[in-house]
Amino acid sequence: MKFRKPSAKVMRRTLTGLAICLALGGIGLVAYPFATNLWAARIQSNLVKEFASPAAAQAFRSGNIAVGDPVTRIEIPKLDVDTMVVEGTSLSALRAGAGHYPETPLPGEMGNVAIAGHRTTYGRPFNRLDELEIGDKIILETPIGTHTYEVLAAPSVVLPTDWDLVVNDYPPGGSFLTLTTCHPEGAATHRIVVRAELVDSTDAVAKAVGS
Amino acid sequence: MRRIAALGALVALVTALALPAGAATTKSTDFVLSGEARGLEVAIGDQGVTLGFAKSLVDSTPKALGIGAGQCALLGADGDPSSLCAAENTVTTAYPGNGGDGAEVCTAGMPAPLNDILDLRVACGASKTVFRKGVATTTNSGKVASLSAKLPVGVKLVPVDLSTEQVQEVVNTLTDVLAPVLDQTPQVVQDTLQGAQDTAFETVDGLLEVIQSLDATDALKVELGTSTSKVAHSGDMLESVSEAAGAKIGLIGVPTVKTDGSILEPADPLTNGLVIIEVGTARASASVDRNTAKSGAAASPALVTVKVRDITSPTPKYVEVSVAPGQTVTLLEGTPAESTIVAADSETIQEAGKASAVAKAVELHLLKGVNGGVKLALAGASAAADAKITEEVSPATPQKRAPKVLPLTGARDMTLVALVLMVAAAGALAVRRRFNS
Repeated sequence: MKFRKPSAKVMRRTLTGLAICLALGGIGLVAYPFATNLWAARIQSNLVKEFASPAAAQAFRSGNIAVGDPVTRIEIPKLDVDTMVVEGTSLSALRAGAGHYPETPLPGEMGNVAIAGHRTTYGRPFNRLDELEIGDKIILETPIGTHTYEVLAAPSVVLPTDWDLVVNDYPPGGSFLTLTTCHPEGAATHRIVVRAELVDSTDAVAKAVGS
Repeated sequence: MRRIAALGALVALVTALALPAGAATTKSTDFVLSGEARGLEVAIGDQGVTLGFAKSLVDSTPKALGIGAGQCALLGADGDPSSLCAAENTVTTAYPGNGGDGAEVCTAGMPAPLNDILDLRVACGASKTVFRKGVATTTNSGKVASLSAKLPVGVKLVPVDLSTEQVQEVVNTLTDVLAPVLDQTPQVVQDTLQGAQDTAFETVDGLLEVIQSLDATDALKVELGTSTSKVAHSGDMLESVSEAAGAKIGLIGVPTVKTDGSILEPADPLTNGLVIIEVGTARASASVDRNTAKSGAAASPALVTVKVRDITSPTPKYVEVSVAPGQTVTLLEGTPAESTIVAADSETIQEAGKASAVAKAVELHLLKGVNGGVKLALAGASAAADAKITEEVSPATPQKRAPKVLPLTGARDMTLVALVLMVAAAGALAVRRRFNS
């Protein structure tokens, strides 16, 4: 079989196509985080509406929250974080920005409530998680109450496989909150973990009367 | 032929998939570790109290219980701490359940009616139980700051009449002995001997005052260490360690006589006691290897040292006696302050899979002549381990579960890759120009 040298026209077209593909790829990579942020913002605005519905309160009370439905609103005043947290930590659930580990208790309950959040994409709610310090407040608002947690220790870095250490290893008898996100920023080799303890709880009725 | 072979292979495949996988045997170690430490048990008549109590219990289910108590009603051999220990200075933790934070809970004072006789400063208990890496562990402690006892009103350690007679007898004897000598010796020697006689009289007077003042001082004072009991693990080894940190007991504070003959009060029995008993730390431990179910135990009893004060000496001077484990010593025999000390012994038992260690308490029966006296049991500790390997035959081979990993919440920084792609695109365009002409 004889190899025929491509004509100049074919070469021009091929190279043009290649250049367009490469440029589009580059632009796509640069635009990806911004696109995910827009996507997350859209999901968040829908979640806020869902969260205010009686159905959300009913689901929370029964402890039967579907994956992707809102569980709680997390506020971290020091980091200017105010985002809705959905049930589940799958890739699709976490497109909302932050997800509640379904294996852990609901906010305000005894045990360790664990929440994962994106660091660089999808609204990057936990981008500055490493800046938290002992005593910083983390507020979880649920359809039936508000729970305030205080950071117990400086953020620690663990391996992605340290599931038990992060989710199951906590002092029994108390109510704790664990936040996780990827570390270092722009990579996923490790996870950064913040542990907080419940210091105050107000149910929704008491809050409404108080206000 | 080929069809038959194919059919046979299909049947074999269906059978293999339909039937459960072969039975599997899994081995696990069942274990129970326990420990207990008691700082001090006091019994006066039919009343009693246990001070500084700690207890641990951990098993492989996994469950754990920890108790740290400052003060309990007399627990004796089989007392139930959950009902007999004072809630105000007792902490109970458990897994599953409230694991506690290890903080001390303290109260002051002794419950009635013992508060008439015993003065307890502060009693504290602490406990913490955690579950980590598949094992529950617990750490517990109980302690009291100090304990003192006064003699009941009207009770005299040394009857005053007897002391006066004794003193008079000594004075008469000295006079009789010295009189003939004084008459036949030169004046200088006479003066010297007269001085010695005066000194002797002063010593006797001082001694009388000391003896008579004993009733006003604390009859007994105890300084007690912390009792701890814990179950901890390191790798596959689990260990139950119980320690009673010993005590110092002062019996009858002897007032110091000043040079002018007056008595310097108050007299602290712990520093100026007629008898000072020092009890060392008692320790018992038991361990289990979770891999092999082998257990072991060790115990060391509290060592006892007794110091008896020479009260004829103007400055505090003690004669020190060590009491061997298991030995019984009686002090101040025949006096109301007669006291007996039975030094502690230890015992270790090792059977198949079981091991236990007991460091027995030091037993003291003090001031026997005063309303039956006070009975103390000091620094007792015990620990036990029981383990066995159990085999479970499961009907099917357990399927391997994929290890759980923390969710992915970050994306790689692709800025550099994007830059490379853009440069490559520019390169492609540059090369394209060559084909324009």
